[in-house]
Amino acid sequence: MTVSLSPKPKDSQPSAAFGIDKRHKRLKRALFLVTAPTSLALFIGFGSAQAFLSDVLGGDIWKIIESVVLNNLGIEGWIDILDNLLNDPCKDFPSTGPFVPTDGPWCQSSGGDDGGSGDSGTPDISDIIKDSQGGMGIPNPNAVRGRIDEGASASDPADIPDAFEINKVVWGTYAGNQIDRDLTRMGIESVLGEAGQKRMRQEIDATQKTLTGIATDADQSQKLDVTQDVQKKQIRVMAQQSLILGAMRADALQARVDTQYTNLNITNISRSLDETNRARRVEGSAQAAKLLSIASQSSLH
Amino acid sequence: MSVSLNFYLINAARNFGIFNFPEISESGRRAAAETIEAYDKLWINVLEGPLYTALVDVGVLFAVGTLLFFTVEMIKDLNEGNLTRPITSFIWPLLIVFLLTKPSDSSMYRLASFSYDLREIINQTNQTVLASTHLGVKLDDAYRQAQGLSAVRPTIEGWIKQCESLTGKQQLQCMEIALKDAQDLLEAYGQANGESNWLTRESARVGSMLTKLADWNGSWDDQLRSVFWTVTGPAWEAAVYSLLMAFQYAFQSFLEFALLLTILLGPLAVGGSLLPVGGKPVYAWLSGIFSLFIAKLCFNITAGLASTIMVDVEQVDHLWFAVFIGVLSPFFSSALAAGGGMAVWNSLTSMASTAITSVAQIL
Repeated sequence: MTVSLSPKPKDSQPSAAFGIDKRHKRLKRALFLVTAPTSLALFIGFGSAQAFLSDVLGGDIWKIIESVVLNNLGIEGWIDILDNLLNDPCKDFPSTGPFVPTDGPWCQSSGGDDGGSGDSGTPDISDIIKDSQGGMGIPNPNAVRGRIDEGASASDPADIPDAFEINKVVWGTYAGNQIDRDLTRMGIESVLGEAGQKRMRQEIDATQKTLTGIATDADQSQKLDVTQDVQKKQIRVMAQQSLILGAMRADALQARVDTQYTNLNITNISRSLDETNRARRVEGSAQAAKLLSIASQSSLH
Repeated sequence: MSVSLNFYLINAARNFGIFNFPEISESGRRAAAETIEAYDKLWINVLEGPLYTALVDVGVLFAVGTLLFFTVEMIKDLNEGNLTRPITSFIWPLLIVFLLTKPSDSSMYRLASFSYDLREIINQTNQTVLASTHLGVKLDDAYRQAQGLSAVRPTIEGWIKQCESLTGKQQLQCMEIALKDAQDLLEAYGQANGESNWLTRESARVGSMLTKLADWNGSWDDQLRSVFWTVTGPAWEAAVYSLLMAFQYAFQSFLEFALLLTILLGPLAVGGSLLPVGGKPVYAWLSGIFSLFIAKLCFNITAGLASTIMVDVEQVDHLWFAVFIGVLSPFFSSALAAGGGMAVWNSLTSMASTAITSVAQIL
């Protein structure tokens, strides 16, 4: 029996309020096509790894892959985090410090869908983050920052939610830094949050099961006499090893994402340090200019 | 991303960024001239205005109120057959009536126009003093030049200060660029404000430093060591200079307003002079004006002479000048005025009263 690996057409599901599901179904399809190499597609499943491998010569492999790959690549996790947290960020979001404005475009007190812009010109932070999602559902920090800068310069100064800020450009920079930190925390949430830790536990369990499976197969193959059976067992063992390799690949991809968040924060820190130095130099020039003005004005009369 | 490449390109325009010399000196000169005009307008406005009228009314009220005492005293003297005192003291009511009324063709009280003339005399005398030449330069020119010198050096030092965070060869190159900029700055300052010998001295100094820097002898640090100490200053220098210059400017404004206030009290002093006993308030008022005149004169003279020293000799440090004209000279002038002015006036008045009494005795 041959294993059919051609992609099966999926039933189109009704699109959710945000249209994210439909978009992401299409993206998932694209992902499957991109990760055509059999090993990656086969070996990134964890939850039903044992079930898949127990009937290696039969069963609908594709369905099994589809049901598990998202869980482990974490796309659903991102989307869940975004959906849950952007709806009412003030309630569900971990606090990022004492200065998170609790009114205005960042927090929507009326739960549910995107309520559009908060006031006349200030763009909604939820909309900005949703619009900046990339192919994996992860918000692109560069696009977010660009939109925030545009939105800050275009908005009415009266819309600044912080009572102590006057200059909207300065506030836009500060808000951008805060939102970068919040994006980092979303990444942290996907690893250390409820869902993330559950997934980690599942991965550990699945790894354990896979290793047990490898050991069992190795043991059982000692009793076999027919070479072909031994070779089949060998292929089973190699398949299970490749499962682990695939998991390592997924971890490496996740590490790549995490490194970029580190880079993002380091960039922001570097910018802040440069701002401090520049302010010091400009302060010196301002003092000298003031002195020249006063000197040019004084005379004896 | 909203970062464009222009952000990284250096603005090579040779106008020293925020140091726009033609505009700074032009606006400063305009401000000084307009301030003097504004003071003149203010004086006229106050002396012709309702404030002065109200004070004249109060003075007249004083005079009328004390008229009873004056009359009683006069009757007593006449009763005793003593004629000199009533005659000499009769001048006071005449003076009050004369001063606290307006002539028909003017809108200022006679006392007000007299006060304005006093101010004109004070200003004229000051102008004469300031136009006198010492060590080859007029006092007010010397003052302006000293202010300019005090302001330009912290600017240059501020530019050198930006090189402080670098080390080694980069610091040397940075300082070279800053010193060349300083030469350009001195040239631009000369074009905007006119040549003077302190400018040539400063240019020569900066030029010699550049030569020393270019004289490579093998060690970055040695180069810097020979130059660095003459061109650096602390970060607070410009701020302190600004503050002290503001003190000095405030003192000049203080003198103006003190004179205005004293003049405004004139009607009260004149009106209260009818009381027959005690010193006449008019004398105190006049001595107040006289002491303010001396204060202004002292300040102008000391500031001008100190400026000639500043400009004539190359100074290593200029902070003493700013402290002198900002803090010490005002105190000095005020003390001289209070002490000397009063003493001079008292002696004048006692001399005058002695003369009058002796003349009356002869009569």
